Amino acid sequence: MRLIRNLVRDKLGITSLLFLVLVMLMGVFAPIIAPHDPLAINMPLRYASPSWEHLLGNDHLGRDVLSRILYGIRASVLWIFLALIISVCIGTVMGFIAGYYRGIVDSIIMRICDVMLSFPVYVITIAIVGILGVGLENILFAFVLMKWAWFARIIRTSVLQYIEMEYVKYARTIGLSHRSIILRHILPLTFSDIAVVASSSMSSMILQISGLSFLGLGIKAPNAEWGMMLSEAREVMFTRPELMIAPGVAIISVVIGFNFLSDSLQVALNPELRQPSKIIE
Amino acid sequence: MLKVDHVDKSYNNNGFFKSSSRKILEDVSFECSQGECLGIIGESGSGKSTLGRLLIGIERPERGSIMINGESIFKRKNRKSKISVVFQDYRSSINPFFTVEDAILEPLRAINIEENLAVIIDKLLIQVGLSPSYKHKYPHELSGGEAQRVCIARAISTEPSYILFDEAISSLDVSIQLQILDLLKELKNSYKMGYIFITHDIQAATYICDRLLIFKDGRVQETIPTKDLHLVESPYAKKLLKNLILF
Amino acid sequence: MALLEVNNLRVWDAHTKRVIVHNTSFTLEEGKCLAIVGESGSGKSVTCRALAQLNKKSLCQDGEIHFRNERLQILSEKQMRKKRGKNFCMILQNGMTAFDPSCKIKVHLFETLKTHLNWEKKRSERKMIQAMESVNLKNAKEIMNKYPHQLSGGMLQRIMIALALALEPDIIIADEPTTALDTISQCEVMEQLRKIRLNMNCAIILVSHDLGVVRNIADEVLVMKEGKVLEKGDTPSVFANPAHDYTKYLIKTRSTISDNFIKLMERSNLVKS
Repeated sequence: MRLIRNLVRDKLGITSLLFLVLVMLMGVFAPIIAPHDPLAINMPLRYASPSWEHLLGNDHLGRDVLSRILYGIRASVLWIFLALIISVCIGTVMGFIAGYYRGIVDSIIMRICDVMLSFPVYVITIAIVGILGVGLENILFAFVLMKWAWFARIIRTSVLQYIEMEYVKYARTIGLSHRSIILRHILPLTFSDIAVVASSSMSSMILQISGLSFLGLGIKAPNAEWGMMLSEAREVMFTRPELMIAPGVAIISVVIGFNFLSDSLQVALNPELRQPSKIIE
Repeated sequence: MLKVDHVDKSYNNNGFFKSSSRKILEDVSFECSQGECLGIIGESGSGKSTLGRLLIGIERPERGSIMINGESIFKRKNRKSKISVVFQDYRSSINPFFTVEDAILEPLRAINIEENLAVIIDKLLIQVGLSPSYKHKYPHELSGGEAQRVCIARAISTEPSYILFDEAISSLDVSIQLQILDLLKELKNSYKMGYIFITHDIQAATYICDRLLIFKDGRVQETIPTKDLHLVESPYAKKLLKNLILF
Repeated sequence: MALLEVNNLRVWDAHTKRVIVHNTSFTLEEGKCLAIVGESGSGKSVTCRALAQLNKKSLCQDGEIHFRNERLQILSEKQMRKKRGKNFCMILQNGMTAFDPSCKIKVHLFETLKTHLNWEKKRSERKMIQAMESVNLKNAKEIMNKYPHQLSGGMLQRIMIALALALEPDIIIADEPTTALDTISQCEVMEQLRKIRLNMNCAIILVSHDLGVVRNIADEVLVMKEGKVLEKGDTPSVFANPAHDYTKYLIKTRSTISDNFIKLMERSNLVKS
């Protein structure tokens, strides 16, 4: 509750949060709010300029760009968000186990992470797509597989830093259980690190998915995805540049939203960075 | 009563090819009875901080035992509400996400006291010389002396058998040091707790302790009642007393 | 002629407009030791950093600081940097963080000597070994080849003093040089500072909250509280007849702790007071 109250005070933060929630809702309810079928081909309207009927114009097959952007939210934002949450969860659990219990468990988990991190993300993704076939779900699977190691590393370092704090030593002295020490004393502090890393990698994942779709490895052809829309617009980049603008702006604004949100979350979570609380004399 | 019996502790330097171990504590034994204040005096690097970590049960010795009222302190449930600690670094002694109230409640909640908490907190804060309005403050809004008082309130809340003070006053101003020492003296009279005072400052230690334990290179050099301090025999203790900046 | 003359020094925070040091004036004579006493937050460290103009950018200062009749404020950052080290030398509170942890001690030492005195390596090394021996550091060569984390706080503090010795500055500014140390090293560090004064006739500005340390070495005392100078005067007279209540309070608290100890020790002649 305190978190939300603090976030509301930060104008930029709450705006980004509302914007992102709105975008996600639009993605969920795309079939209701989209004015046209995103897959309906309408050749007479090829490269049509924006009109009242088609607010953002039509693409090279005469499909409505606005509807495609709305449907694209599902692949470009919602599914990525899900993949992110899964990999953050795996990474957090692994990072906590490694950082809190140390010893041999730590060494094993960290060596696994080293192995995962030694492959470039694109190479592994392309390899997995090569084995399992083209498709969004395979790319997301590859992301989860690769990203958790990265999160585990960062979260472990963060845990190590807080475990040496004297209030953790105090909590151990008075006989609190490991579970409550982790939940009450370490998780809240590492949460700001987790939130920041997660939101910044959300941005990079959106860009990567778009990049892979641009290469034709992502979502299958007729379905809408922002990166693929960019790729399709590329052919007419010089004659009809406005076709690149809509998906480009969509990607940029969502990425910026996540970045601002992560900054504000960091401030909202940490009492030291906040405005001083009311002074009660 | 706390009993430390022939404790050894060493740390391993795990290199990639060879591992060597360094002995930090060697054959340390002493006792501290209920209501006594024992000072452990040593230089930095003498192993007194390691001893401190063993005394609060968060690290185990290789050999020997530390018992409180006949039970090992390395079992979590034996430590509950019996041992408490105040650290040197007041900036990191309280979780920055906790208010003063949350911090003081923590040990009480750990032993399932749920009634009259508000009254208890107000009483504790007044006892350590702070106004009850402090309970909604965050640690970063407190000065060093205030934070250390909150830590003391937290430590005495469960009326433990003994409290360890690990250089608890060393980073405070001299005038604040005296205030805290006086507060501790007063609390000791009303609660009958045992204090173990780990410090390098022999003058502050003589102000409050009944008995002093001179510690060097992981060994107890000499144990002496404070009132007989001028009778120390070991050469190290003599040197320690000679090298003081007096007022 | 005074070595250092400070007139109406004022330091304030540019953002919050809070004044940290109020109009402070004092003079420092050649070869004397001035102590600035106060509790934490009294602005004593800010004052002495203001002398060397080392405060953060967000802190503004005005007032006049004359060093040998030369106005320091009008110097550029580049000229000031030359002055620091050559004329002013700082000894900081925490030796552990004052050295670069990623390189050996000697890298830091030689670099400093090269910038200020333009000495080549051989000469620096010879001089440093001499200086370190004079602050009671044996095996100087070995110590210089170590990293800061391998040495104790007291040793690092003495290395800083040795560096100050080699630089032969006119003023040493020692900001809480003993606070982070334990009692034995405290005594040694104070001993070295006293020696420096005798041998090199350089002035010292000592910042401390420990009146015991101050009484030991200072010629003059400046008592500060909340950025204001409450009292200044000769050390013996201030300690004998403190004029301000706050000074009395500081002296009383310090002597309460010491008296108890001295009473205990009076029964023997171990401690000569």
